[in-house]
Amino acid sequence: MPWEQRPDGISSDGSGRPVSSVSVPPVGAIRARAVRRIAFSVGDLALILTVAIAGSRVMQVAHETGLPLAVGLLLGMLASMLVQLLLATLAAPILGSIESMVPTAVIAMTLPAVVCVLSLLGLDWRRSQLDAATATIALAFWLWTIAYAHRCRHRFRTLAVARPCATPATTSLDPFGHER
Amino acid sequence: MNGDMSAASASPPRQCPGGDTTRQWARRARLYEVLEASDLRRAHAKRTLFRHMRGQTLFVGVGTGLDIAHFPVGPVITAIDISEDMLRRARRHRDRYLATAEEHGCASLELCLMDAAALTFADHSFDTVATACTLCSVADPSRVLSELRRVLRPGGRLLMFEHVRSSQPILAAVLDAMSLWSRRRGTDMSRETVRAVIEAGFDIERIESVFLDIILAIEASRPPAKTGHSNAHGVPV
Repeated sequence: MPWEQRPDGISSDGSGRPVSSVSVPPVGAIRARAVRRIAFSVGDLALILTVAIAGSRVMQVAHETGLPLAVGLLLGMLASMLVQLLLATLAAPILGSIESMVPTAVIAMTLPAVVCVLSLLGLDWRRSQLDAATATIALAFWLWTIAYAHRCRHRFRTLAVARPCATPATTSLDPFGHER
Repeated sequence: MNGDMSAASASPPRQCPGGDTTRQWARRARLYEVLEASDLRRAHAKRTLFRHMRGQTLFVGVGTGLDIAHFPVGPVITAIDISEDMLRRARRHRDRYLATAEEHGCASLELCLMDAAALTFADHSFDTVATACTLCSVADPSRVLSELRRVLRPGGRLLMFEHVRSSQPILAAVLDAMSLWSRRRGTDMSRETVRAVIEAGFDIERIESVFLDIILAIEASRPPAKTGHSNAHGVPV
């Protein structure tokens, strides 16, 4: 475990440098981090695609029932949100609760509406065509999340103030007010 | 160390943690580890953040103890939570941590039943205060932050792993919409935590994006004491 902290507060990379917020992780740790990031991104993509296709199919079914447009839209939106909630909850233990819930909520709130607009415009697409269009939009959204994540990392990194090691403990009383 | 939930018996909280909040978290404790088991993805960021724990450390909102696995060995840790059910589940993680940490010859982790908005600890009694997804779940974040500032010694560190409102309008709208439902379960998805930390009188040292600009690892510090002075935001230090 290359950048684990030893009890004496010295980094375990053998350099003898104290652990600090500005320490540079070893190459192995950076590579492992990149692999992990890619693996989770692929997981995110799979979930976004599943939610997108399931949501749009639910909306298409709602339209095919012959219900009035407003009722079909409302029921379709509700059903696709439920599908999204279920799929995101199932994925949460692996991908993370917020990490799976937020992007798929964007998809579940927008894609069924797109299906409705297409239907309003009189574009009667076959299911395979609709799936392809939905997957394309979902893929574009996933690429946007990748770009936005990169931008966020860069934004916060530039905000960071390089500081030396944390100041050593100087408190003489324990939390309950007793002398240590 | 005198074991579990010591503050509840040895030093009773100023305000008894209870009411709806406690009942709500007692209900959530049952399925918490299944639904919130996002550790696979967040573990690395948490471990990196928490390795900055030093000396007397207060961990606020330990829940079922999922985060204990990421604590470094060395600091003297007091972990609090408002729910007794959560703390009961946290014992298992604490025991595992202590067993591992004792191999290094230094292990101290105490679980206490306490309300984060009414800490019973003396002023300036901690060198580090840490939280993980806590500020989203408290009723009054500014009051909690003011308590954290009170118990943190001047120059001490605040480590926070929190989810916040996105600055991206579409994501922010989604988080706002999700909050309409999640608030009923005790979690606000759209809190401006970074701003609240600054307004509470802390200096932000570093922010790391864990997931977009929604999950952040925040490192802040309480400015060193200078009587009669105030920080850039007008908060006396």
